[in-house]
Amino acid sequence: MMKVKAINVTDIAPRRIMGGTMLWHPVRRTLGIRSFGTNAYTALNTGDRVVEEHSEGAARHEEVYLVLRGRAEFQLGDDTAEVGAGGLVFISDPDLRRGAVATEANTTVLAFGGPVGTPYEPLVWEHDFAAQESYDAGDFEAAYEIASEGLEEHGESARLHYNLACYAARGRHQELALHHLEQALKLDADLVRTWSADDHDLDSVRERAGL
Amino acid sequence: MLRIDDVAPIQAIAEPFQIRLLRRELGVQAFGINAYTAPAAGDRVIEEHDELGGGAAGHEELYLVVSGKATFIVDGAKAELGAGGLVHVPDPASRRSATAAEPNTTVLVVGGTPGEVNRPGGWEANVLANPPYLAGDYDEAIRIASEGLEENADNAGLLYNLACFQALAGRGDEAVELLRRAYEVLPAAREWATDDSDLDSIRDRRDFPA
Repeated sequence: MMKVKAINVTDIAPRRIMGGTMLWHPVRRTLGIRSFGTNAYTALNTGDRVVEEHSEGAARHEEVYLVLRGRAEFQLGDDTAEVGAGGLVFISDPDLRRGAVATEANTTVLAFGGPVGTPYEPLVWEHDFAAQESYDAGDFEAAYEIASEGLEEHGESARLHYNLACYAARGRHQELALHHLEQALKLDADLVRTWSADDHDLDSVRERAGL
Repeated sequence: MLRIDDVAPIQAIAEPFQIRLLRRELGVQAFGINAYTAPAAGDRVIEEHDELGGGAAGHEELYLVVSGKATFIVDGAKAELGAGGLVHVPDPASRRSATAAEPNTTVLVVGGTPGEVNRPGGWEANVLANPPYLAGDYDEAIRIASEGLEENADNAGLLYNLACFQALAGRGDEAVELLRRAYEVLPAAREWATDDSDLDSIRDRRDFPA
């Protein structure tokens, strides 16, 4: 196929996240979707997290989750619900805390998301997730290279510059780390001060960066 | 929270598949999301269409096989996909369709327009009007389609279908006016009328739009 891409969700090169027990299948960025967000997550074992606990407070997305296979218990604020294959969970409130844990091995959940009333834009966190497996393996050069692909689209993201600073610092590229920290501080000093307070990734440049 | 199967299916017209209006049922605003189920192997599960025609939203679309197996044809290229299979069609002009290769194949469709705010279209009103239309309850079909038209006044598909319902209900003047409006929005809608028996009651009128 030329303009069209066809692939199975679980064949989309999974990246290990959440300490290695959860697989992220980057559906949106693999297929090049531009009008809504979509990603898939697979939990390898019963009891493993299949949707990280989070809110959509920053992106302001509403989300639909679809359990494609297996079974998962969703936490939605103070409520819980167990959902099997073919089950949908819709969360319109971006501030509601949500997450899910697999109650069967090899549970796969697809997430679809987008903002209401404004056009969708790809989110910077996809680059963090893409780099995480290399980071966890101690390959900081690869983590930097993968995440830096996001600079073209998210060059004004303090979060991206901060994480690039971490990867560069751990990879012993102090000047590069300081450059990204400087950019991050210009963009969102509060974020950098908060995140860096107990972040050992930045220990090698902390003093020079004035943190 | 609900299962796809929990949503009441709506029979398509002139196609064997059933449609579940998930976006409307869940109240999703940010993107379109609906499910299609073909009862038997060999049945069409996604009608052949592009996203440029009358009533189409101009969306990029993502198809996901939720259960069963389906053969997709997009611009002449073929792919057979089982559960978990994804087909991304970014170009609204691409012709796409899918046929079930197993009974009870369900395909989820998610769509939106890059760079634009999602606006639910009149297409859903067309689907909602299917059951009363098929049951011969044309007044109810007119009520549903008219409601849809309030928010989608320039939807050629909706204008055309409403013209059909009015013609079937014996209200020729209204049908002619709606048909004229449909042609103004989408001149190609004239092709739909050439052999549509729904319009037979007004076809011989002198003011039948050419």
